[in-house]
Amino acid sequence: MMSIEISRRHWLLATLMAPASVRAQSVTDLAGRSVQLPKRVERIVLGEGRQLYTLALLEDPPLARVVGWQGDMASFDPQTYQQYRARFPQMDGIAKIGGTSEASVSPEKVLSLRPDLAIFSISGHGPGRRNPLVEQLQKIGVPVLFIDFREHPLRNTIPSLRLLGQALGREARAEKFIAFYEAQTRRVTELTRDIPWAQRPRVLLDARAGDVAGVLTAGRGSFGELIEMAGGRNAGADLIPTPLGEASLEAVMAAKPEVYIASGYQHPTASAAGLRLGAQVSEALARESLLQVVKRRPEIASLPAVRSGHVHGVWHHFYNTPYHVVMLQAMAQWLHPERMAGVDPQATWLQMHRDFLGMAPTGRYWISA
Amino acid sequence: MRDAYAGLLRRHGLILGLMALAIVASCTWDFTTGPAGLSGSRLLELLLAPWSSDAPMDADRVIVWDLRLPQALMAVLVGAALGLAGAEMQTVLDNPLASPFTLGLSEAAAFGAALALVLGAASAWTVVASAFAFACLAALMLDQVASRLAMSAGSVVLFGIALVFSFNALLWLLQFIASPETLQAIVFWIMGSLVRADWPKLAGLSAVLALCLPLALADAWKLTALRLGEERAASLGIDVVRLRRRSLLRVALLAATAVSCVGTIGFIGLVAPHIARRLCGEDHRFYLPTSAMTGALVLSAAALAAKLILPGAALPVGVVTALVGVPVFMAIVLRRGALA
Repeated sequence: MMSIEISRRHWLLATLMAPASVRAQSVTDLAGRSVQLPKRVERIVLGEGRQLYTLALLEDPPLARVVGWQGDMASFDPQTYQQYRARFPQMDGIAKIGGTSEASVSPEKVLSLRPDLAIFSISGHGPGRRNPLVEQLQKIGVPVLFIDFREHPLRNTIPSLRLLGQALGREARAEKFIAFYEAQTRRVTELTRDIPWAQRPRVLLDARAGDVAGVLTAGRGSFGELIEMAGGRNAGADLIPTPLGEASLEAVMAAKPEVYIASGYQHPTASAAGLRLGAQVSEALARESLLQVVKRRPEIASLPAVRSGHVHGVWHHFYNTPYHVVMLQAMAQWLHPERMAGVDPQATWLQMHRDFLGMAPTGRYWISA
Repeated sequence: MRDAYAGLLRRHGLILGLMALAIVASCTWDFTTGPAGLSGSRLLELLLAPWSSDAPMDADRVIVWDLRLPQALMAVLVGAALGLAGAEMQTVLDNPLASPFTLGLSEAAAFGAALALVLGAASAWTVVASAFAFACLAALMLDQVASRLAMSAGSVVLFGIALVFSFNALLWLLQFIASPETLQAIVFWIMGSLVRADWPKLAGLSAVLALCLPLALADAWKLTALRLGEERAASLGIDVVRLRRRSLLRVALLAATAVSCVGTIGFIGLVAPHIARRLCGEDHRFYLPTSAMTGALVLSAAALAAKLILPGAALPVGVVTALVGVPVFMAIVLRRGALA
């Protein structure tokens, strides 16, 4: 998948000149494009603000080199935004290149920031591969690196992390996190791999439950891949052809899911309906919102999963960051408690924060009713 | 009598001249406005030195030559194309609600683009070509319906509305099966925005305008006669069916090219003809160019307004077109409504 050609001369230079970010290498990004990574990266533009979750795993301080990003982090996860801002007040000075969508991104703003690296996602809320901005950035010599955690986490997470490590000059740290990610993933897959199909419970993922009309669920990709890794059968895989999409409520009911997992991201004082999970959300608040989300829709409340009490909730933004390894463990434990007795997602979550994020987590990120 | 006529011509000439000045002013202001905050002298310096051998290019140069200038000019040209297309359509369909969008041409073009994206089109030009092909298909269907079935102008508009809904439904179907990556590309492509403006598209649209405007003006007196009614026009020796076909094909060409350049911007083609009619009446020698210039002015002003309202972010121009255009439109229509 990746072709890394490190020029010997630059490699030598890099080792001689010490700073971690001097190199020249050509890599293939997650959009299949060949990208010449810059020798020195001082000014980074992020296509989406929420790429901070991943950047924080590799960079410390996480936003020191970021000069432009969208406002989605501040809008969709204000508590985490405030947490980072308390530690790095200069965060407010980072230029906004747009609001929360590709349409709102101003190409002129991006170019005027004169970045030396742009990091975009292959899908989501930022500039996509076909945005003319990609070509304009290349014209002024700015490499554009596409990564993906959202569409196909199973095959794209590790390559995306490795690419980021190379681009940011944080290879060692990236490899350290990849080792952690692989080890934590393996703890689940070793136990779920041989579970026969018939013993895997049918799982319905209700994405952004209660906050979007209808049932947004995972099909082939996204959360769906993680459900199957966790030893479940993704009910949505038979309903919709895309990684995420809207399923018919009737088809959802006919699928008779045995386990119900909602996703949500509302903050503690949000006025919107929906699942409250994430930073600063208390366990009681999270559980109450989960019960509300189920109760408010009689169709959901009538599902076998809900009647038998298999109701859970996960933080929605897990779908766009490698943090999802913790969600994988939590889901595996819900689906196969007896097999997963030795797996402790909370311990994994704390370890990830301690070893990679340099801060303690606040609030609930997954919950059972 | 002759003096009165000469006076009318002078008045119409003056209106066209003033509109041209307003377009130049709006386009210039649009060009000099943007989040990068480049000074007038820096803009002029870059403008006077279009070629550069720097590799990589200077960011300011790309801002001027890849963003500001093509977008400012694109607003003028797309506005003109839609204004002209709308003016011709309202005449040949004898319906004040007609616009390139009423006929489903834009939806057809959007569907064509989305189809190419879903099928994994390799180049941007494949997407544009597919958009164009479907817009022409829609125009061809309309033309066949209009001429073969000898349908009235009202029925043609109804058929056009049916096309809008059909292509819209097909578009939703495609969005449903598209991967998130493709879906994002489709939404971005269809959205009415000047962000996709570039020089090849400007050249293409200029060529289409340079072809269609003289041809439309050559038909001007026939179109003026058509306003008296189909029978009256026929009694003057005008082949109404052929006139309508020629006109609809021009409209298809203009609308499809405009959609290929900037996505769907719906309001201009409907409103510009009404404003033009208020300004200079039904004489198509003036009505057609005035409508084109009105469209150009409205879209250019909307592009400027979008930047002034939200300097940091890119507000899609389609949003502003309606917000700015509707009050202007209502003011004109209500003020003169009693006379209509």
